[in-house]
Amino acid sequence: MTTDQSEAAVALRRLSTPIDALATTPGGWGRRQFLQTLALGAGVGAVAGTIGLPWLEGGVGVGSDAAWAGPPIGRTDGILVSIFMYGGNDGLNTVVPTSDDYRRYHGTIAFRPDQTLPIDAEIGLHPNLGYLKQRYDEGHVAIVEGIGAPGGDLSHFTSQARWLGGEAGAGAPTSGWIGRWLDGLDAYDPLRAVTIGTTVPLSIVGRFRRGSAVPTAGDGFGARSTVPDTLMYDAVRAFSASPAGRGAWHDAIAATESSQLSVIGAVTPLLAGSLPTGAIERRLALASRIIGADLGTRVIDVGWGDFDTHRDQQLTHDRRMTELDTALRSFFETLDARFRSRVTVMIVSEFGRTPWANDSGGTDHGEAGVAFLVGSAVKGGRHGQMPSLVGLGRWDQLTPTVDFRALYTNVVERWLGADPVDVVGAAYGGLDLFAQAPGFDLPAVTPTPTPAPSLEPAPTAPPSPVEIAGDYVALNPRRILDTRSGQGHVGALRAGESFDLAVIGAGGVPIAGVTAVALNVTAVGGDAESYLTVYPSAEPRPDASSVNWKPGKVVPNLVIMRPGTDGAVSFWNASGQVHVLADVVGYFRDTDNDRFMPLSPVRVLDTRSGLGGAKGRLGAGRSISLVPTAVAGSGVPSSGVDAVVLNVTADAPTKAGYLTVWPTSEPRGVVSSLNFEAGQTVPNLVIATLDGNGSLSIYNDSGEVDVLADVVGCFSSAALGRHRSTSPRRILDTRTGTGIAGVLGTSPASLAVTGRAGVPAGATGVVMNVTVTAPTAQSYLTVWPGGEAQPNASNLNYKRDTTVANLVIVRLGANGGVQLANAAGSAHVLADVVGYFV
Amino acid sequence: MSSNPEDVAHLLRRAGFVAPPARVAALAPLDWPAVVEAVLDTSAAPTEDHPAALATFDGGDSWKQHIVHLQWWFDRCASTPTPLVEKMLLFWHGHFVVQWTKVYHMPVMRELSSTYRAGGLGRIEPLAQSMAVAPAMLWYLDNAQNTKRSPNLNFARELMELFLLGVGNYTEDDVLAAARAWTGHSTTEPPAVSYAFRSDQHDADLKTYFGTTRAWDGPEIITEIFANPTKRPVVARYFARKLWEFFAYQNPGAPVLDAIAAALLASDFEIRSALRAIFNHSEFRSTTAKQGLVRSPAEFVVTALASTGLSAAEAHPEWLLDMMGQDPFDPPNVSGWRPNGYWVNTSAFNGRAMFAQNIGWYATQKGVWAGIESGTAAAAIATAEATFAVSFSATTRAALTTWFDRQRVSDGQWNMRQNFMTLVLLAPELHTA
Repeated sequence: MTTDQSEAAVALRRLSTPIDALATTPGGWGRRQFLQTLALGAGVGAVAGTIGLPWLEGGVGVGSDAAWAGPPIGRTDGILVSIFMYGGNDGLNTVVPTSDDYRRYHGTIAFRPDQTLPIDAEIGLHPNLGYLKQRYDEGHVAIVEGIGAPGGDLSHFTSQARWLGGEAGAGAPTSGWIGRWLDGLDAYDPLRAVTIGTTVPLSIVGRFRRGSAVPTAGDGFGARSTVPDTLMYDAVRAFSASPAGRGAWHDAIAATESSQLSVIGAVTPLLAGSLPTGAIERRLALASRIIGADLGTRVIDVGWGDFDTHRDQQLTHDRRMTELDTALRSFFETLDARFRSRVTVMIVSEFGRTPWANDSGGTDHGEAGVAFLVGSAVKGGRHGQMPSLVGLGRWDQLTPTVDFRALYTNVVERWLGADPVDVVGAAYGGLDLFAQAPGFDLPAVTPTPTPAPSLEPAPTAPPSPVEIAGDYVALNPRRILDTRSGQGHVGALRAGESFDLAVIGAGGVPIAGVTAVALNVTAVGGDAESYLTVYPSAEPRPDASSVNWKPGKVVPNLVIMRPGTDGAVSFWNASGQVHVLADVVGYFRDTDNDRFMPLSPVRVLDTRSGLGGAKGRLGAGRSISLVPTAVAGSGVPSSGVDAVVLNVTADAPTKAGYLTVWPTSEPRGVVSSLNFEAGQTVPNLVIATLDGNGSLSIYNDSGEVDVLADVVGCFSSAALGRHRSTSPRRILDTRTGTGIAGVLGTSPASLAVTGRAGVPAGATGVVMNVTVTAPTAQSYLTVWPGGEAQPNASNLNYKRDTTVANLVIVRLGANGGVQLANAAGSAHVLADVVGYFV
Repeated sequence: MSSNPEDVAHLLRRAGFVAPPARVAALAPLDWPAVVEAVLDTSAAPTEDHPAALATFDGGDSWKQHIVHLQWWFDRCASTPTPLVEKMLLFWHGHFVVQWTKVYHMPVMRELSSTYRAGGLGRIEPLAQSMAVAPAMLWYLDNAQNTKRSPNLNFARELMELFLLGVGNYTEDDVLAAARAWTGHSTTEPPAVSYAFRSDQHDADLKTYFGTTRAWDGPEIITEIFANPTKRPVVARYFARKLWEFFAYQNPGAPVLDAIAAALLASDFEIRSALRAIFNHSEFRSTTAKQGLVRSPAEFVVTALASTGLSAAEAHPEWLLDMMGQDPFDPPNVSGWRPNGYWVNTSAFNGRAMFAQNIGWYATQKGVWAGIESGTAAAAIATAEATFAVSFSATTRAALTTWFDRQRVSDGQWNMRQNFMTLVLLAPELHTA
């Protein structure tokens, strides 16, 4: 015990809160590795905030599990990895002063200048921080000296509450700074901000939303894909299908269970293979994988300890520094190069420690400490100001010179792209920590001027059409591919990249006898204009497109595809990178079941007019039911129908969102049938399974939207038309004169189908993926049976100078063909046959 | 006058862990105060039959001893006729906190637990006095190292901030004075550990505590808190809130707190009297109260064991306690556990789901619900409701029904019982208290 200190200082340096975890037990057996989390009211504020309106907006994971269409990380989106050193890191032994004053105070645990990794005449880094020193020399480390939370009381709880809460005020905070950043995002999913560990720290708990906890190991619940497991997962998701009327906690638990499945589904692939065992090494290794998977994650919180070195500091602190340096090195060295200029690592602690060492070879709770930012966009060098060791402040402590909220202000404004006023209450000045914006060294994306489909010459030898007959089995739609969460494929699909998705045995599709699967495929937020080709695996990729999109758009299309011999279908992306979702809606099989009955297109639902029974725009979170047989003139038989084929159009939505179409009396699955953006009119072909009462339901996720549906056929055990799937073959390309010569105007044009592209004479209907490109006006396309009158229906809707695609199932006219008309202006049209009915 | 069976079940869950239908049926004919008295009557509590393995310190196998202790406790909770005793044990381990992972010495930990079990429903002051000199606490908050030469404020601060008064009801000077008063209160050296007073390390000088200057000694600090006319209402209010939030719901209004605090003052701080006031308060049977608490992981484990008849040695809850977020003898820090949202996050529910799967497997091995897969979904759901003493919402019922029928069609019956048990254990109804 030193003798030259005031009584108050003596008392305060002995002050230790609950989380003093060093081995002060007699004999020194085991000790807690420090409190893992503050978890101060984690969730309490969040859930309290959800009782009421925010509940509908997706608080606490509600809707998080929904088929929300979130883009991969944008080219200029910054990713923050936040490392919290719990317990109070000794800043003076991390960024070590060269001064005699420091060595006098720190006594036996002080470093001589020649023991440190020298930065300049004033400071050096702890000798175990070799990698940090290397990055500092490269200009990639900002050292923030003298940082602290003003008005602290030397308590772990108070200080952590401030750092995690991001505000310095009276009372315990109920939300954290990253949580409030989440609150302000337009789009949200549970992986946007994550903590790696078993508890959620306050920092990622917002007022309405919160991030998720990602486990560091384990074959979690949600990781498997066998039928019994996915059936269980479906049931758990259905616990939150609608509010149970048992109170907010009941619903919050149900929503959390649903989010839990998504999180496990997303991280399980990332937990494969070896991971380091050390706490921070393991967490940062996982962080690197999460970033590389491009799951939309912007903030990753990690923390470890113990830094509360009241006794025998040297051994413990040296070890912590080695752990930090090792973890940082492996993190950056394994980080996917695509993200290097988009990742900044922030390293903080709740406070520094006393300038003086105590008589136990340790230091006690202090005030000012040191923080780091590491990354290639950081403005390297020293920032803030080392507090004076000559005239100590209150309680003989190092007086903070920089408010920690100035650090947060920099991170929020310059790296996370938000307004610091919303997040930390004000824009705190005094620091300038970034030299570059996120993604500064990535090439700008140049939009592809023309849509790529079929600008390439058609393959000289089209794949031999393999034709397999099949009857249709309708399913309650289920998601089997979500590259955002790593389901089916980890990470966005890059230009020219293809992968195989197992469809046999997935999502309710049986193992044997399947001849084709019906998938609703959605492209999410591609960063370049591009298209997707879906084709049987292990076969040559055909010249065909399945989904087309412009940068940043969310575009769905129904795909009916024969699996390859290994039970999979392949997805190939032409350019840029894009996330892809696929929901299986049904399949065809080789035994007797439902057969397709093509119908002349008839509108059966129009919320603008009340046709179908529902008048008025469909609001967020609302559903409408439709019994197609009950609509006069629909042509749908009154019995024996298990599914109807609808072309569903979302008209003039007020917000981005999606529709889910599902059999009314079954649980609504986590699927999207049609995604749209604000103001965009989007059609998609939907095979809608009916429930036992012949009813289907349509759910709208957000905003308000008018919904139109045209029935074009149905699946019935009484029908004659047996489906035959083919490899995709182009039957129409107005640009080359294939099928129809010249651009399509407003006059109907005939397209011969039978006898071409593998469709035999006698076929009753055809399944084609139709693409419109370069339309001269906002318009829509109608496809109907040859020789018949043009119906009031639409198959594709488009704006001027866009490229859109939609699957079309159409009955063939008596002449074996179909007709097409474009409502306004002119457009080029392409069509790829993927199947037909006999 | 009889009582509403739903109210009785609610009380049994809160004052214990589950609401066995037979117990509900036995109590429902009574009027409400009589139901409350029946629940508060713990005279039938079984003796403490700690396994012999917990009697001695075993340096090499302390962790194994901990598992034995956990399993013994979970089994006791699942089978005791007086679950309130064990519920209060859980309360006190989360209030007068000692972390097993710091102490790591089974005899002292078990002794602390016995102290809480024996005195958990009695007056707070004697319990606090016992707690203060329990070797586990003396180690945990460093009072064993609190010496005249170098006072350690850790215990003195938490005694006031977290254990008895709450922030703002004492000064830094009071903390220092209390710390000095507690100097010298230590333990003998292990392995045979007991309380020891070391007069040579005790500061017998004058200290000013709550404005009174005298040669305060540690236990007098606690005596003074319970005797001081300005502190007594603070203590009463502090425990009124803590107990109400543990048994009913969060953030009670002033009238509720006043009523419970009055009961504490009138009984000289007897927990049983406070609980009587809580359970008899009309707010306790409100919808807010009935929907107000999430089952903690320990409560969930007991619910699963008590309902399925599995023993802890069969179900191994200790494998997943850490992931679920609660080891009953090892709170995360000195402020103990927090309620509700503290337990509800994706990682913690991953732990609960994995535990549910284990229960599904082990229960199936034991033949629980044999033949359920051959019946209807409705029959299976009725069986589940009876087993777990819950009533499912329409949403849950629809989810389970759909699963039952799809599972049988898609995948057959071979693993239906196991997976149905897993799903039932994941129904939100099983996770609200």
